[in-house]
Amino acid sequence: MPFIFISFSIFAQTKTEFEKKVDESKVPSIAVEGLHKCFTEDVKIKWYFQKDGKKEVYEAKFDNLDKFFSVEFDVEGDIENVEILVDKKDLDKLTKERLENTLSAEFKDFEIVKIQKEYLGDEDELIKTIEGQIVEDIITNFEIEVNAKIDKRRQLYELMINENFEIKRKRKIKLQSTDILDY
Amino acid sequence: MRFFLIILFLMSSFFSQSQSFTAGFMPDITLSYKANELYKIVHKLESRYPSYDTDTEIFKVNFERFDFQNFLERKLGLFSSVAVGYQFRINNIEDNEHRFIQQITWIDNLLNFRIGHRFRTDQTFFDSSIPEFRFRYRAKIQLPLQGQELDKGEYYLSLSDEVLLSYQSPDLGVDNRVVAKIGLYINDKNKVESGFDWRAEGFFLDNVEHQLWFAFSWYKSL
Repeated sequence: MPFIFISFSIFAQTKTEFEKKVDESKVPSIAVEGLHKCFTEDVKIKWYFQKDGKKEVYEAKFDNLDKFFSVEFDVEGDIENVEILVDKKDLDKLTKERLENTLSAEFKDFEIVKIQKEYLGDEDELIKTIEGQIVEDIITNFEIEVNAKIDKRRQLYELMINENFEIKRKRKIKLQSTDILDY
Repeated sequence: MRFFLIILFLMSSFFSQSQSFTAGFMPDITLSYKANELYKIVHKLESRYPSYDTDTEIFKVNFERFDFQNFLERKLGLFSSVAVGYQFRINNIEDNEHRFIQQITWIDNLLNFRIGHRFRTDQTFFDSSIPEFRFRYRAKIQLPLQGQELDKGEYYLSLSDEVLLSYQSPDLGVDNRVVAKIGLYINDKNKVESGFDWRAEGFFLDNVEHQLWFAFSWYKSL
């Protein structure tokens, strides 16, 4: 019974995220100052307030070291995670194979749309990650968007895959209507 | 209205030398609903009210035409579709038009905005002249103004450019349409947009016709 409950909670969700651009002055100063200290050069940071279900976070998005970063802070300004956008072709062969094996077990027909590496750790480890340092043993998950076909229907899914290549969360992404772009 | 008149004045000064210029209003409504998971029905009503031109230099709102478009759309993938349509045009010169339309569309989802690509062909049959055939391509950008993704109640910028090649024996024509609008994403079933639609018709001809339309659009889905 517990297994059934867990399976349901992982696989029966739809992503309901709300995000709004906010001025830096509205973000807890501990987050703003802490992040600026990570850079030796001037980096342009865009701040967003994001609500995902009941969870509320501030998110900083910026380009640094030729990578696109998203850094999440809780409403108190404490750093929660670092996400880096990665190109599939930049993943090492083994990681790519293991990710594809996980996805193949889940979907017969799929195409990866977007991959973000999510780093979880203490404040020091996450700051080092932002600075471009390699941190041994930091927890690395993969947040992946997949265009997949199930029961003859295509759907966009967001999956959270942990470092053991197990799916920890799978959510449908509700697509926005396209009428304004088509007509 | 004052803003519109200033734009009108500037544009008419610019084009008054050797090119004709017309300005007016162009409202449209697009209504769409799903027939099933694959197919969608779309109706579009659009009318044009030219209100100023450089020949008369008089500001007067006139009715020019009313288009009634109907489309049957089929999804190809998550971000692509094909559609066939028929348009009936009622206009002020009593030469009604029947137009058949075919289009393929797809969307590129980029980090901060979406680009919609549309290839369209159409064939227009008139009551009293020979048919016209057109080939068109439009790229349209939807850029959220209050975040990376568009949420309910947020504004967006809508920018597009469309190139049209036309053939009506023996004439070939090239038109270009640039549209800039501000949109409000009320929710996924209701979007309104307002802005300017600038059309340059008859490139490579002696007299290029420039048109500036103040457009208002409502996209409603059921």
